[in-house]
Amino acid sequence: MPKIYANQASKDTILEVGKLMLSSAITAPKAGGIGAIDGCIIYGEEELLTLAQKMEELSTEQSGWKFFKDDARAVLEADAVVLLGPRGFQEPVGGDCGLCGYTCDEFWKETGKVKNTLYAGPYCGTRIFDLGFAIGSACKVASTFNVDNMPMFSVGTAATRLRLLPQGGLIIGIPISITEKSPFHDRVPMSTKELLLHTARTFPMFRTQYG
Amino acid sequence: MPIKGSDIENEGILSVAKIMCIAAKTAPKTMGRDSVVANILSHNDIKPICDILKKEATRLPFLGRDATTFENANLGVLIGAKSCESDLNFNCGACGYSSCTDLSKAKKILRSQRGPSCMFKILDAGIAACFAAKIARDFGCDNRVFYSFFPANQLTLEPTEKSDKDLLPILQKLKLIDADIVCGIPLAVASKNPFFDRSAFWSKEAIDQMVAKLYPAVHTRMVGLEKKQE
Repeated sequence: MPKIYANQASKDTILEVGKLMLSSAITAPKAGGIGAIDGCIIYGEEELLTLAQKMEELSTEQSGWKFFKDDARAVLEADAVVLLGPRGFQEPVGGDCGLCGYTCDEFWKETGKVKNTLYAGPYCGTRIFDLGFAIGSACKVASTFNVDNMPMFSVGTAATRLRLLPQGGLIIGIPISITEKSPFHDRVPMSTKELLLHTARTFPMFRTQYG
Repeated sequence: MPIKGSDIENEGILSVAKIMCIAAKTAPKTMGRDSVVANILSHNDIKPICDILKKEATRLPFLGRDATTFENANLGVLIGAKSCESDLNFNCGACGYSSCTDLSKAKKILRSQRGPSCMFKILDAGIAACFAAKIARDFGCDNRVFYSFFPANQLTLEPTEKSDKDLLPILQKLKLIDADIVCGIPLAVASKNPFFDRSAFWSKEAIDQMVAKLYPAVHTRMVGLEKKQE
C-alpha cells in the first residue's frame, strides 16, 4: 500500500507553496503595470547554512544590525527561503512623485552617489513601493496555506552579498517553514553551533517555556 | 419583512473598510516599528480629490481618467506611512544618504509625495496596502490599489454637512491623512468592477496619439509601410 507520511508531505509542499508565492508576486499590483519584480527559491541544508553564516558575519558590521544573529537561527530552522527584489530600482518610473527627493530628470545623475554603504542609493521610491505589494501578496499566499512565514531584511542583505539574485540591490527574503511552532516568533537565544547539536524534537518544548 | 440587499450595501462596505484598517495595522513591519497610517474616506470626501486630479490631468493625462472612476466609489481607504524620518539605524544607503541621521536632517521636497524617504518605511506601506486589498477581495468588494490618491497628502479639510453620519466619528476633524507617502484603495459595489477597463472613457485615436507620444519606439514601422497605409 503506497503511503505519503507527514514528514515527506511537508517537504514536497513547501516548494509548491514557494512557487505559488513567486507567481503571486508577479500578479501583485504595479505602478503603471510595469513588471519589474524578480525572485527565486533557495532550499537545501547546505545552501541555508551558507546564508545563515553570512548573516552572522554581517551582524557585527553595523550597530543596528545586531538582530541578524537571531534571524540567522530562524533561517536555519526554516525549510526554504523565497527571495524577492526589483529589477529597475535605479531607473525612475516617471511620475515625478518626489519620493527619492529629486525629480525624475535629476534622478539619473544622483543614483549611485552614495558609496561605502550596503546599497548605492537613492533608489526609485515607486519601484520599492511595488516590491512592498509583491511581498504582501506573497505573505498572504503563504498564510492562506498555513505555512509559517516572515519577511526579513537581514536575509536580503546576506543574499545581496552572496549575489543570489543577478541584479543585486535591495532584496527581501521570506523564510517559510512547516513546523508545529513557528520558528520566526519567540526566538531561542542560543548560538548556531549549540542549535545544530540539539535535535529538532527538543526545541518546541524549549520554546514554549521562553515564549 | 426581508431586508433588501441594495439598502444595506453601504453599511456592509463600511464594515469591510474597518477590517481593512485592522489588517493594515497588523501587517508585518520592519523591526516591528509602526509608521503606517490608515484612514477611511466617505464618498463626499473623495470629491475634492477628484477635482484636483482633473486639474492635474494636463500634466499627466491618466490622472483625469482615474478621477472619473473614483466617482463610482462608495468608500475609499487611504494607506500611508511617515517615511521622511527613519529610526531604524540600518545605515544601508538605499535612500541616498550614508546614515539614518543624515536622512532625518535632509531638506524635504514636496511634489506629489514627500521625499527623500526611507525605503523600508515605503516597503511597510506597500505590504500594508496589499494586506488591506486582500481583505477587500475576500469579502467581495470591487477594489483596486491607486497611486493617484496623492492629493490626500496635501489637503486639510473640515467635515462637511453632506458627509455621512455613520462616518463622522471616524472622520473627526478630518485632515485626510498625516503621512508622507499615500496610496488609496477605493471600494465599490457594482455588477462590474468600475476601476478596470478604463479605456472605455477614451477614443481609439486619443490612445494612439498618447502611445506615439510616450513610446515612439513602439510606434515606428518600416519606412515604406507608413506611406502605403495612409
